[in-house]
Amino acid sequence: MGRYVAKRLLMAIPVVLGVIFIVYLIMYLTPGDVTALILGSEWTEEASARLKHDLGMDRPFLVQFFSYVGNIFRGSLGNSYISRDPVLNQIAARFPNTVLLMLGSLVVCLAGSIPVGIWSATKPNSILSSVSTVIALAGLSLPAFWLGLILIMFFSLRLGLLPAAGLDSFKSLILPSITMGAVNMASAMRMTRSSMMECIRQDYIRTAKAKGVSRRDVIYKHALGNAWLPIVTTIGLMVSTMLGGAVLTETVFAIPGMGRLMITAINTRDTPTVVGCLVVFSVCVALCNLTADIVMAFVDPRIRAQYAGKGRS
Amino acid sequence: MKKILALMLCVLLVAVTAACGGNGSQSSSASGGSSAGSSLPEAPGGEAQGSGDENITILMEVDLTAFDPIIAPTAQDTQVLCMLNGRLYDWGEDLTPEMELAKEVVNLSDTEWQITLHQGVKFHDGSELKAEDVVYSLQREGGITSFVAVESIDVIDDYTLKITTSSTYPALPNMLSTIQGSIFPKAFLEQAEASGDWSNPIGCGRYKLESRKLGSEIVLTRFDDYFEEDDRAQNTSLTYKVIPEGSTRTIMIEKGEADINLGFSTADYDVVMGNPDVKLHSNASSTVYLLAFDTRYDFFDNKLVRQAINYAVDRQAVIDVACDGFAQPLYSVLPPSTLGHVPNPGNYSYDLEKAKALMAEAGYADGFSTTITAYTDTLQKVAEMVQANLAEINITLDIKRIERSQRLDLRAASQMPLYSGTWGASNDPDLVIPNNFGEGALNRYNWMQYVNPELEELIVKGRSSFDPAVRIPYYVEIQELLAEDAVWCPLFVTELFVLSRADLQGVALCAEGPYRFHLLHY
Repeated sequence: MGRYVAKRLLMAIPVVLGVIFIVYLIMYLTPGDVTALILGSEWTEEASARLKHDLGMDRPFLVQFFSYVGNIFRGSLGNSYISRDPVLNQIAARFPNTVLLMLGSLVVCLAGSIPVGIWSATKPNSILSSVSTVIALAGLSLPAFWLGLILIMFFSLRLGLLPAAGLDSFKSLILPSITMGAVNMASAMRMTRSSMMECIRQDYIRTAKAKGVSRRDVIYKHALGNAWLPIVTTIGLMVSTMLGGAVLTETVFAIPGMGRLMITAINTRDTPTVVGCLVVFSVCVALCNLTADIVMAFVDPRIRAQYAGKGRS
Repeated sequence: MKKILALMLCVLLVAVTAACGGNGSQSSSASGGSSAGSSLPEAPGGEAQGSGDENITILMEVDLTAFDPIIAPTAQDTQVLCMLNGRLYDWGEDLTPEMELAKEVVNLSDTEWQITLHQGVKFHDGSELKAEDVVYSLQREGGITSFVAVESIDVIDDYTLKITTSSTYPALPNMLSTIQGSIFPKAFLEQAEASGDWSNPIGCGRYKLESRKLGSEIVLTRFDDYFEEDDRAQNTSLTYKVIPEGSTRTIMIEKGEADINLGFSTADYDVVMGNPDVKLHSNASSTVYLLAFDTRYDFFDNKLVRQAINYAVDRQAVIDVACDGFAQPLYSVLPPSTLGHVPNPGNYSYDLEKAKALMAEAGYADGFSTTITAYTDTLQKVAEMVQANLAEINITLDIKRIERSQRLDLRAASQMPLYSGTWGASNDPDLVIPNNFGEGALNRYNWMQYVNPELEELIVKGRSSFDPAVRIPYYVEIQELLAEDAVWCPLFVTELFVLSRADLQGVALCAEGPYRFHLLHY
């Protein structure tokens, strides 16, 4: 298992380098002069040329790229073109907020989707099953932007129960978590439901029932234990999406996270910040996928044996 | 049974959705109805309360770019930095420069300014302001001396300096009042420029930096040693919070979670007008929306075509669509906040018949096709209205949405025949006219590639005296000349809106926006 993990980590490096190359190339080829944004009304050709030289932007593309990659291996993500602050500092200030938001959303999503998915699989034709499906689809259909504002207007302005913006306390995490969690609830619920229904139809479940095993043990011990695999995979993908796709929620609730940082950097042609954010996202996605694989190995003894025996993915 | 239940659920869903529709609970008719103009009715206010010795929470749309004023050119950056930093001049309500760190200014000649500083001015680190700090601050690369006709800045003694300009330059106080004219201790600047670390800025303003959370908030605390005892902060601290979403900012003011919102969205106008707990303040801004014609194009090098477009654009309709009616039509290149403004130097009006006659006289009765560029959502709406207006005189416009950073490249490649844009005008016309219409700005912001020797002469004459009474007639003549040549089609000047708690005292607005936050208190 250890060898497998190390191999996966090493494989992530060329993936991240590939992402950096593609993004750097796109930013390099995108039309527009970032010095016009930085210098504003003080732009002149001389000032622009001087600034480009100071920022290293007048060097050939490959020189810029390899210089940037070299800095990454030395622990630096460069300095923002706009604020001149180290990109690492900006990311370090925002990444924990995005992770906190992601964790809160994940809790809401799983708390809402897994129990309902299980119930829905065991009683597929019940009213609760239908209602929960409708609610989940509503959460998927409603724009996060709109849902967030509605929640603020109701819980914050009308009832005065929760703060409208920021991430200062546990209470301020509730509404953004519900907003983002609701969007992902439908897919998690559907995956849980279909996976459980698949397992419930298996012969070993019929055997367990015939043996007199309690209904609770049949569902939670025998069926759910085998249904976890696709659910874990879905959760792994969901985490990656939540990390990178929180910009709307961050904007509505004024959470200083990675999503807003990257959107602002893209709009201002701040290449080091864009690439720095994507490096972090790429590493996170790679780690999330690896974590999902490891969790699957712990959940399913067959996969664990496969890794232990052959040491390959 | 299940079908009946499903049907009942659907009916309930439709009923709930229908109940959520319709107008909000507030009525705009009680507030007077009209949504245009600066004489807006204000939501009823509450009584003042509190000691005036508290924290004021200020909401802003974007985070501060940097504490270094050379890197931080936006209006929102200025609203933070002007509280931290002192300058030789501050600005008044009409943007007229008012002396701050400068105690006395004497013109030794038309090109020599002797400035005497207040003594005993303390920086936040306890050191005293001296002339060498001022000289070092102003001589920074990218600062005042980079774009002003300044020949030299010299220290005379500990509290006196002399600025020498290459020619008579009456706009120097205006330049010194910009945030790029911020004064720092020389020792601090040397260390900050060497290390690039501006995380603990040292200024001599009414506040000092307490803390900053990137992307979230900046907290400034009152500097009790500010040199002007009578004008120290009336609150303990200012907390600037970054809230990107306009509706969220409005809700936070309504809830009382914040005290003042610098970026009020007019989409919430009807919501706040019926709320007695909040107060909406407004002022005409110095931001001009305009169309500029690239005169290198065959049809746009014809003055009659440009004049025709000035007649064909219905400015009020553009305002109604692009700004929800919250702007003032503009017919001059200078907004009302700028010295020497003339309301309508070319006597333009919305007159389609006159526009068609001019197009026929120019030989373009059948019109032509061209492209208009827009780089913001508001300018996109402007372009769409202009497209509709110009279709009436047979001009077919294709709207091209671009990024702000693309403008200079497209101008250089002559790919912006009709440009829609904005300009933040200064109080002094000498900071507006040469930068937009002068020959020296051909590779900068003279989008029109306009060259007129008569204009260049008038620019020199306009800056030849320090007396506004002498200068104004030249700027009147400049506005008439530019109206006649019609290289711009000025459209409107926006309204600034600030939303505050109704009982918040000391809210002050100038054409640049809200300022003097040190006066805010309850």
